[in-house]
Amino acid sequence: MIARRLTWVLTAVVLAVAGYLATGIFTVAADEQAVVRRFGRVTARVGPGIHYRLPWPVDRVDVLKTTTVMKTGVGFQLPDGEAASVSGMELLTGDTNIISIAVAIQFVIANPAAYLFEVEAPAALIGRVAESVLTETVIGMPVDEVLTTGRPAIQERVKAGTQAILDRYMSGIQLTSASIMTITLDSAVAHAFQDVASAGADRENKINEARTYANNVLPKARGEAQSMVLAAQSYREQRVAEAVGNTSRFLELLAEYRKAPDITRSRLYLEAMEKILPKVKKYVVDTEQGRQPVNLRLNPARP
Amino acid sequence: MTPLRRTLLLIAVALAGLAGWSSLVVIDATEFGVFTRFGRVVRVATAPGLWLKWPAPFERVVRVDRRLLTFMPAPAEYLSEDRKNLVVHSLVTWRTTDPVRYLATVAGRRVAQERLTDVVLAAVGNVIGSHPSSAVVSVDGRTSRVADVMRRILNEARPRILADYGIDLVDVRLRQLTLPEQNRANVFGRMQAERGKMAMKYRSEGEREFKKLVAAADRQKTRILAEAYREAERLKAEGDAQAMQVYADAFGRGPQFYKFTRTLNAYEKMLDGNTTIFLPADAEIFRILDGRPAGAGRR
Repeated sequence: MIARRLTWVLTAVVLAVAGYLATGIFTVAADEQAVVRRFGRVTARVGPGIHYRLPWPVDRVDVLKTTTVMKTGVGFQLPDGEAASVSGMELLTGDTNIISIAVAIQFVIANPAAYLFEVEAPAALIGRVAESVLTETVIGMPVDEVLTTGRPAIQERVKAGTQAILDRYMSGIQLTSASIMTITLDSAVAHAFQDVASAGADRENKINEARTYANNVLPKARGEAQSMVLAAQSYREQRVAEAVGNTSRFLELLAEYRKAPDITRSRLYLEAMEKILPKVKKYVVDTEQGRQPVNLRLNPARP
Repeated sequence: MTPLRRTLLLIAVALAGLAGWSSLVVIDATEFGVFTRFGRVVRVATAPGLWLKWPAPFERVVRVDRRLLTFMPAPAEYLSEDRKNLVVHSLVTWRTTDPVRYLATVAGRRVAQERLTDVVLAAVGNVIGSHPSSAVVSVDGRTSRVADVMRRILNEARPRILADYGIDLVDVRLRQLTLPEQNRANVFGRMQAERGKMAMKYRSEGEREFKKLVAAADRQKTRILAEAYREAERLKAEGDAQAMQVYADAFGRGPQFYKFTRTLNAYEKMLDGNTTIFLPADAEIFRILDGRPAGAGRR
């Protein structure tokens, strides 16, 4: 009777102890890491797989997703699964303009032990620190730079600056990106800023118009110039050719004249007279006898 | 064993268990443990782990958070050296380094934050008030003077806080800087005016650039045409000169003969149907008539 009761009690005790010890089994998924504390002191950091720790109250284990990229932000709330309402954080630029910027930040837990035990609410701290870095950055920049070319520099500085501070705080957080989501202006001035943009476009248009004009006018002028020069060239050639032509006849006559000067001279004279005299009214005057005109009747058409 | 003795034994075992349990303390990685014996601090557990103490009524343990803690004091308005109002939103991070002093002076987080707020805001006021606003708000951002200003605030407040409260003031950051509500309208007005000026500047620049480019194109066109004209005239003159040279060369071989033939040509052109000429009878053309019989066949 006593022996049987003892057996029962023993069985119950063994089962209870086994059950108690079995609570020390835990698993870590592929994207997780676990930190084991024995009496509050960090003793192990374990990766994915099935593991054993001593049951409560000796060991405690915290499992964290370390490869999952998490999101937080500046200037907007990020409710899980909901489209974030982006309002932006109001900032003062270096030239005392007021703008609003929203920045989305992605991060991973690089050091689970530090993330768990060094800083209170580290995920919430990221946004606050990023806000301060953003403020420091934008307060040293003119508004035009912030709105146009400065965006990559701002993102870079927010990421690097926030990371440096989080490292100094030993938060165990690694930022993967900081990206500006929106830059907005107060409705009182938004229109004025838009007008500047369209004025810039107007300026470009005007300049392009002028370039088009130049591209139209100059080739025309060059064409005209070329044709002027070509015309002048052909004039020159024509003049020389004319001269050569005109003089070649003279040179032939001259050669003939050299051979027989008197004959050629007479021939030319008479040929000329032959051409001239038929057309004109003429009177032949005997110079020795007086001034009585002598009609030679050389022109029968005129009596 | 009488039932009474059994009960007493059970109570004794229970008490011993409680005492044993109460004499074991687990100090976590996130905290300090301060052991007090009737209120007097006897030991400080600065490392996490399992610690032993006397059971409950004799020794107690007070836990103090050793993590980096953060809070944001309410925004406060300050006047800079050049009388500009700035609203500073700050971010304070701190951590307890001397838990005994911490417990003795502030005893808890709420009071600690109140004390820190007082000291930090006073330091911010001092430093902002001794700088012109341009030390903070300036387009010369490469040097990041905000960081210097904040460092000065931190350096001013840090030693006092450490000595007084056993708290290490890790960082005071400028989380956000804004202007008082009543100044915002002014700023927006100025922004609008600046933009208006800029838009006008762009438009007039476009106009000016347009005129400049068009004028340059016109000038170039004129130059091209003028150069072409010069070249054309030069070519024509050259042609005339070469032609002249050809004539001079040719006619120079027989100047007398040239005079003769050219004169004949001139006669041909000069003398037409309206001309009446008187020919002397002894003109060369008649000279043959003198020595020959009439009707020689030439008209």
